[in-house]
Amino acid sequence: MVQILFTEWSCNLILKTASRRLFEIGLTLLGVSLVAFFLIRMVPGDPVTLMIGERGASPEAIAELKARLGLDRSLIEQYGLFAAGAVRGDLGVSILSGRPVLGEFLERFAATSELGVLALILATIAGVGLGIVAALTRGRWLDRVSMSLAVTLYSMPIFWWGLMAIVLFSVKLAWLPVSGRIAVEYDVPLKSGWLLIDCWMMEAAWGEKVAAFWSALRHLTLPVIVLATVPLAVIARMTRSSLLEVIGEDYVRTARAKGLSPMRVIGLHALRNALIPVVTVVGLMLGTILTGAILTETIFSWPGLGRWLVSAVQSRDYPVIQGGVLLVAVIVVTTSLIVDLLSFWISPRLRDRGRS
Amino acid sequence: MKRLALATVGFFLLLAIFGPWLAPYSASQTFEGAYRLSPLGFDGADARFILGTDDVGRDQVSRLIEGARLSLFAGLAVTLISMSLGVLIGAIAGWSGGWIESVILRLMDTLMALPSILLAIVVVTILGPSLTNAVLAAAVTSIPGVVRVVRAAIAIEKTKSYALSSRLFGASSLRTVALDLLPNCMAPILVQLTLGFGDGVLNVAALGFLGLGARPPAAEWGTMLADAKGFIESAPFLVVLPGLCILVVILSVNVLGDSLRDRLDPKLRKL
Amino acid sequence: MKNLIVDHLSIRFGAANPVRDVCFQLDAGRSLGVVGESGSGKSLTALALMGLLPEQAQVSGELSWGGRSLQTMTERERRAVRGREIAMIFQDPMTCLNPSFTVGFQIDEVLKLRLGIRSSAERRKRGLEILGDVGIPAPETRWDAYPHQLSGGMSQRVAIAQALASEPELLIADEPTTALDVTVQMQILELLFSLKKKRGMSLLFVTHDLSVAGRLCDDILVMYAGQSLELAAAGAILKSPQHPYTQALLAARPHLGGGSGDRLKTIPGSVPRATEQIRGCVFAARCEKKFDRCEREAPAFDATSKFNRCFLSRNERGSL
Repeated sequence: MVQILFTEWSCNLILKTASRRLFEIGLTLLGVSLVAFFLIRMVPGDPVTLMIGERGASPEAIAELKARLGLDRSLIEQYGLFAAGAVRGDLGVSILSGRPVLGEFLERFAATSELGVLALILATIAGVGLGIVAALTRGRWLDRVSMSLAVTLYSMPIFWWGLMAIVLFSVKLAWLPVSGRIAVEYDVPLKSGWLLIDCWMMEAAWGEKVAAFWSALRHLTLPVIVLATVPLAVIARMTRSSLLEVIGEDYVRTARAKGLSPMRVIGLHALRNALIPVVTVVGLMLGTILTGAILTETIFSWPGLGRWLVSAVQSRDYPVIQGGVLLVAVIVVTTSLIVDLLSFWISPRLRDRGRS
Repeated sequence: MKRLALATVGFFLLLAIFGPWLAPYSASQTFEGAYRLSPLGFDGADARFILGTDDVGRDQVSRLIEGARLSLFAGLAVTLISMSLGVLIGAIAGWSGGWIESVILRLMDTLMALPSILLAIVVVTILGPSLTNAVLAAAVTSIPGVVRVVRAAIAIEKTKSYALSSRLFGASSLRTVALDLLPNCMAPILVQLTLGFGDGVLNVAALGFLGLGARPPAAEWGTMLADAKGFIESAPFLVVLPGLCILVVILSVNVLGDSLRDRLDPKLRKL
Repeated sequence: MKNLIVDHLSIRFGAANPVRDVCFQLDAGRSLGVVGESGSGKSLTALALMGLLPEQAQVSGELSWGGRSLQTMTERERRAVRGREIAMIFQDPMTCLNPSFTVGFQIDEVLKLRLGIRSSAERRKRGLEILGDVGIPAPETRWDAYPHQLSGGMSQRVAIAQALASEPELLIADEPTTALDVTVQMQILELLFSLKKKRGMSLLFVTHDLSVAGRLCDDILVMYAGQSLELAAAGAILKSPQHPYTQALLAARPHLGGGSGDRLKTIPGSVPRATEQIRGCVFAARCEKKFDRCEREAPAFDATSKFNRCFLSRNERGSL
């Protein structure tokens, strides 16, 4: 199946599409940097006044601090410096913490990605499964139950759903922890940033490693479920409708006419084609996950990107906002590029489109 | 399922419109000594307050009814703003094509590359937290979706022969788009309108929950949730009820949107 | 080798009755052309033989394959027959091959799963042989091609190859050339019938073209409004059609050498709808030779011998 994947022309086409997309991505990122830069400066109140204003510092001290942060220059100049730095990979330092924005971002991103990636995996597996079950029982009660479940999950206000999960599983049943990434007694040094991985790399006895992993897993359970809710529903609905459409195709009838087992007809011939649009949707869900992460992190006190950015907005930490938002946008557009290439990869027809 | 959804939406709309006459008390009236009472049927209930009271002794029924008014009208406002702007921009993009379309699409890509809640948070922080500003922020974040749907629909319709013949007969661009193309794009637009209403209610509530929407003591459902968060252990009903209202309303709207989509255009993908 | 007998086959979808009463017999190694207009139920009959009708379809009558009833088989037994003993190719080859898999993969799975050939090298060798048999030039270069990279004619050859890969005893071809360019149609048909001869299998050839079927097949079954009207040897059908519908069909053929002023003969009226209840002969409403009895009573016939469903040919005119 894979042998002709990288024949010359398909490779060329992928490169051509990719380079056009890269150009579009460049434009989008330029737009994001402008929006982030100017929008946050439209917020009333500036970081210096918020930081030291209440202590009643002298106007000279304020002016000096502003000069040190480069806030005394013209907006155009400030943007130029920000953009020039961003291109070199230097996003400046946080006004609040004094640490480089990039480093802080990566640390927070590790926490968010551990949550988000697991949520996306859960949503994809459960969503595709639910969609398949519904499609195969079309019109019967199992289909109705599955799709009612899907539309309910799709409509779920996840900030409330998170609170409900806490009430039920943490407060009433006391099965799972309420907040944080891991119990306080475990001090896991961050290497990959993913506690589920890092806890195996720490210097400790086996028993403690297992206990730390278990604790991290328990802390992840509720936020991952809450975050996966909406994407799961979307993926399930997409899988169902896509599979139903494909099952009516002539080539599925051909596969049955060949006397192949229903498992093979549905699981291979139909599903392979039905999943092409699902891959696109899974990619789109990344934006939903990032948005959902902001709410989920607030509810579960998860030290991720969402809370970092929200508090940066509140303290007018310009470098963090503009840099952080730009990096988030980079992740979003890169993922959508990867998803595009992936759908190229799984669909031979798309791969060849435009060859003639 | 569909009938139930229609009845539910109708019920909440009635509450929203006639709320002040239906509610037993005023949403802001406090009752001395009646703090955090449970709904009827549970321990510590009071017959005067069917769904109990909140932490400062306000009647939950009255507040939820008031919340229906605030949340539904907020959702409606979000939908109207984002639909009118989105249809306009989308129609311009789809009709004109060329560089105008590219610029608009890149702009929408830009807005979509930002997590919508973050965008809304920044907008609300600029304008200051209030229900009106939350509505504006939620509208801004839902414009790109509308633009994309409308643009795609117009771009398909304009290649059809009736659009061409309308131009051949000398109709102006505006006339062709407004009178010939848009009516033929009604199916996706109507579906988007329905689903956009649900999203609008949800986003305004989310902002309220983050403390960026309606200010307390306003009885907007998201704001009520934010207020009640602290009593999650002592008075879980205060958290359960407003959220349940949000869920039921959005669920009903989405069920209606689904059946509308199935009826208008069965080929539209269920996203 | 096995005989196929279809006896009083009827297919219903709720109120619609697109196949009302179909009977025929196809002996081992012979070819039968099933001829009818669109909507005459010929494709549904073919799908019924494969057991590929939609779930809602209510099937009655008897389908017998080598003495075994296809109807009473379990789904498992049915699957053992389907694709292995009875294979089928369809109308539009462009949509009938799976766009996500290579030509080689789609043939290979038949050899592996239906013939049980373990060695993949052996399967590839056999597969390439079959591709050669169906007239695909340089099969090695096509083995790894995807269906969308092939022309319509090539796709249909591939479809034939994957149907024949399992060495079926009966091949059902449902209008295999309708979707193709006129220039390739005859090539494909000649290929199909030469393969039939070479492999000694039976062939059920569904078409709307009476002349083509008459030229290529041993026997012809004429269908109309979900009924089989006449079954006879091809030569007999062309020379002396018995049923008025067959006669009208033949008269409606364009002739080479006819004067330019000659108008094609048409059959007045239109085919009854599948939901219509018909008491008498299904063709009575459009028949030039009908008489009272035709509208009151359906002509009977028997399934196994050659037959035609008309009172006239049986001299039954005066029996009432």
